[in-house]
Amino acid sequence: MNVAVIQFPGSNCDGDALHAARLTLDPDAQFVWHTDDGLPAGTDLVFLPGGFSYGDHLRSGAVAARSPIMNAVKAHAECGGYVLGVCNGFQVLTESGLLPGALSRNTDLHFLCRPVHLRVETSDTAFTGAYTAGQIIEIPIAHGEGNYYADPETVARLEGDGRVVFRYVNNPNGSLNDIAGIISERGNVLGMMPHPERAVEALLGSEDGRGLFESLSQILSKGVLVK
Amino acid sequence: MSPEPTKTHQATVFQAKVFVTLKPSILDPQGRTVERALSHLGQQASSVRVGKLIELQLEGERGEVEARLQDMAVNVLSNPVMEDVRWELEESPVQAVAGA
Repeated sequence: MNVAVIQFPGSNCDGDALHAARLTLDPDAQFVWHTDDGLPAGTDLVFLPGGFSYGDHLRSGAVAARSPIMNAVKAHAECGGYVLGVCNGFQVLTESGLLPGALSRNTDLHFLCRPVHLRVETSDTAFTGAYTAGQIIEIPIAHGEGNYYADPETVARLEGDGRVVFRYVNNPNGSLNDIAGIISERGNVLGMMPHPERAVEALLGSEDGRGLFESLSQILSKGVLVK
Repeated sequence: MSPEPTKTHQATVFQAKVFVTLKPSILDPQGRTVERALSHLGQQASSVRVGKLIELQLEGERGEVEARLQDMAVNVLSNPVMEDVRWELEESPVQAVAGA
C-alpha cells in the first residue's frame, strides 16, 4: 500500500506522520510537496499532517486548502481513495470542503497541548475497525483552533448518520457535541484534531493511536476501496 | 514638437475593503476577553466582537472588478460556515501611471 504525506510550508507534524505511516502501513511512505499537481501513482492513503500551514494566515488551513496538490487530493477522495487529516490537516479538509463544518478558536483562547481521552464512537469505519465501539483511548492534542462548529442541521446529519467517529470524554476546546473527529459520507475521508500519529509507540506514552493505522492496514491490504 | 505619447487603454485602480466578521450565532471568545478587559479599565461596552479588515487594490473596469471582488470575498477571504462578509469598493485617489 502507498501512503503520501503532504507537506505544506509550516507543516510541523509531517515527520511524525511519515514515521507513523512507515512504522504501521508503508515502509516506503513518502512526502509530497504542496506545489505538486499530482499524487504518486497508486497512492492509497493521503495523510494531511498537523502544523501551521502558511502560518495559519487568513484562517487555519485556508491557504493550504487552495494549494495545487489539493486538486489531486480532492480527485483522489472523489474516486474513493482514503484521506486522513490530523489537526491542521482536519482544518485543511473543512476549508477545502471535503468535510463539513469548521474549526474555530478554543473557547478559553489557550493553545492546548496534552493527552486527552477520546471515545471511539463506531468501529464500523475503515479507520476504526481495530477498535471497539465505546472504547476509550488516550491520544494527545496540540491545537489553538480545534473548536468544531457546524450549523445545527449539519451536526444533526453527522450524528444521525453515525459520522462522529471520535468524541472527547472531557471537552477541552468547546467543540459542539464534544466532536473530536468526523468522517465523510462515503467513509473514506477522516478528519480529527487529536494526533494518533503521536501515539504509536509505548516509549512515547501511548500506543492507542496504532489502532487507527492497523484498521487502515487491514482494509488497504485487502485492496478495498469504499463503495 | 515631440509626438504625443501613445494612449494605452488604462484600467481604473480601485481600493477595496473587505470586512469579515463571525456570524452572530458563533461565540467569540476573543471579543469576550476584550469586553472584560475594557470593563477592567472602567470602560463599559457590550457585545464586543473581533473581526478582520482586509484591504486590497484591484485594477480593471468597475463591473468586472466588482465580480472579482465578490468571488474573492466569498470564496477565499471568508469562510461561510462561520463568517459573514461585506465589502466596499471605491476608486483609488491614486491611479496607475501609464506604462508603470
